[in-house]
Amino acid sequence: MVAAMQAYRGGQRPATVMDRIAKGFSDDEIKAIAAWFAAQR
Amino acid sequence: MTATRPTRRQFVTTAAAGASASLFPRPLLAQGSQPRIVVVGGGFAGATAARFLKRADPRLDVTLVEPNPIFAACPFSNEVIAGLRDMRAQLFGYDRIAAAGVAVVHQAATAVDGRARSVTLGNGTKLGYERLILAPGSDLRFDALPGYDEGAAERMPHAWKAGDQTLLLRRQLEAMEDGGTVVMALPALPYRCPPASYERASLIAYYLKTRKPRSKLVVLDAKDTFSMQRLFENAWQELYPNLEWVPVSSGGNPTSVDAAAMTVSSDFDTYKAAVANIIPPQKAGRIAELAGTADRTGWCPVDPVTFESHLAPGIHVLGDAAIAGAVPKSAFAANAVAKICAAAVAKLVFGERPAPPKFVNTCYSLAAPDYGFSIVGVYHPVNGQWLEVEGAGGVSPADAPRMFRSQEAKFANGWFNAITSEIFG
Ligand SMILES: Cc1cc2nc3c(=O)[nH]c(=O)nc-3n(C[C@H](O)[C@H](O)[C@H](O)COP(=O)(O)OP(=O)(O)OC[C@H]3O[C@@H](n4cnc5c(N)ncnc54)[C@H](O)[C@@H]3O)c2cc1C
Ligand code: HEM
Repeated sequence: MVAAMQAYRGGQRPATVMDRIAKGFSDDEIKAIAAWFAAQR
Repeated sequence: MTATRPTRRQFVTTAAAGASASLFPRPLLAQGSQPRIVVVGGGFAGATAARFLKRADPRLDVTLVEPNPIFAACPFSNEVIAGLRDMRAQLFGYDRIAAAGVAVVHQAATAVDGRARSVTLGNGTKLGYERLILAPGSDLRFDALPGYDEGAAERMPHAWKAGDQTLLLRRQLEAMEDGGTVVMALPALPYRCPPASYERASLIAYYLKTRKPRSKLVVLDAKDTFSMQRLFENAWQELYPNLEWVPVSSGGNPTSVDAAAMTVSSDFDTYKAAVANIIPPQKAGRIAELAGTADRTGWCPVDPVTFESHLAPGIHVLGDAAIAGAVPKSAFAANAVAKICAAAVAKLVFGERPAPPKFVNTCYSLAAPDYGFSIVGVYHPVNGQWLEVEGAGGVSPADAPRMFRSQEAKFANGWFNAITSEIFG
């Protein structure tokens, strides 16, 4: 998920909205989101 | 701490200390009672808040006050108006919210006593609270556009609250003879979900083009510019020669209506309408005003972290009713800020500090059933104000292929299903 978000942010992953969304989050925030999702399982 | 009720004098001193809101509930909790949170309004903001409060902390005693047993959602109601969607797809019940441990009371809140911390309901019941969350949505102003009152809305629907008004506009369009003119009137900012008014214009034009090819649509607008304008105008140019948009600078400002004569007047002209859709200026739902949370603009200023009213401590305001910097009046944002507020309130009632929030808003619009685009914003509080994160967000590309538009139309549907099942499912 961290890799996907970073790729969206950098424009390397095809997107309709995720590129615009990912640009609003720092590496630390992306890691925190990914950690939260991982803890939900 | 004793269990006696505070005297009037104590009220005055705590209020004077300037921190009455977060300090006052604690003595009640010391007795082991559950903190009582009352949420008024079971729409996108309120229903989300009720559910997420219970999820944030099952110890909270949460009551949701909402007069209607069935909620009618506005997003996608423009598709109902254009005959592209069944109204039943817009309707949601409160069973699952009740099953999640929320006490759902089908009454309207009629008064709020912020000092006594109590809400009065239509049937006379009084509910005490430690924290009150008001999420009554937008109210239509029937004193703003001359000629447009509640009676006029029966002939010239606003359809800006989903339900009977949506179906009324649908039926009028269906019954209209081919060749008739549809007139829409749009207000100045701020109001509930401005992009939805251009989506509606597009989908009415779509309906006319496919079913009433000799008819046309005139859109009288109190604005010169609007969100996603380029995307809408490109779509109109490509698809809808039958749509005429008249901005303020071309005399489009709607100045009055005559429901008996079925005419709509603008700065320059008077239009005879076969069907008229009048979207009047708006304000926060009435209960927000009664609770003393609305300012002179008619909307409610709030703190960006907790959504606590700047005007009435202990009362939080969410959704359309609030003015919170750059936060848009959308269902998406109402749902997002409700989660932020629920997390904050679950901390505040136990005297803890809420974490700084951040959220995303994405509003999809349809120019035709398979032609969608979006606007994204990422929001964070800066110096007590919600601002957009710079360098993020923005609108769909102007030059994208039709495939991109049909994909976004599909994702729009996906968004609606996701948000409504999160809240009501
Ligand atoms: C045509 C149209 C299309 C839209 N499309 C979109 C879209 O695609 N995406 C998007 O994000 N947003 C969209 N919106 C905007 C969205 O509908 C609103 O922003 C959203 O509903 C706001 O949520 P809310 O909870 O503040 O108000 P609401 O959802 O309106 O809920 C308010 C609730 O409070 C209740 N209430 C009011 N007063 C009282 C009282 N005194 N006591 C108890 N209950 C009370 C009402 O009955 C209602 O159930 C659209 C709006 C319209 C009109
Ligand atoms: C910070 C919050 C979010 C995170 C962490 C996130 C994460 C992701 C991830 C990891 C993917 C890739 C899925 C895959 O390829 O299997 C994805 C795709 C996608 N997400 Fe999000 N998402 C977020 C918010 C949103 C929002 C608010 C929307 C809008 C409604 C959205 C809509 C989409 C869409 C449409 C895709 C497909 C790619 C595209 O077309 O852009 N996401 N998201």
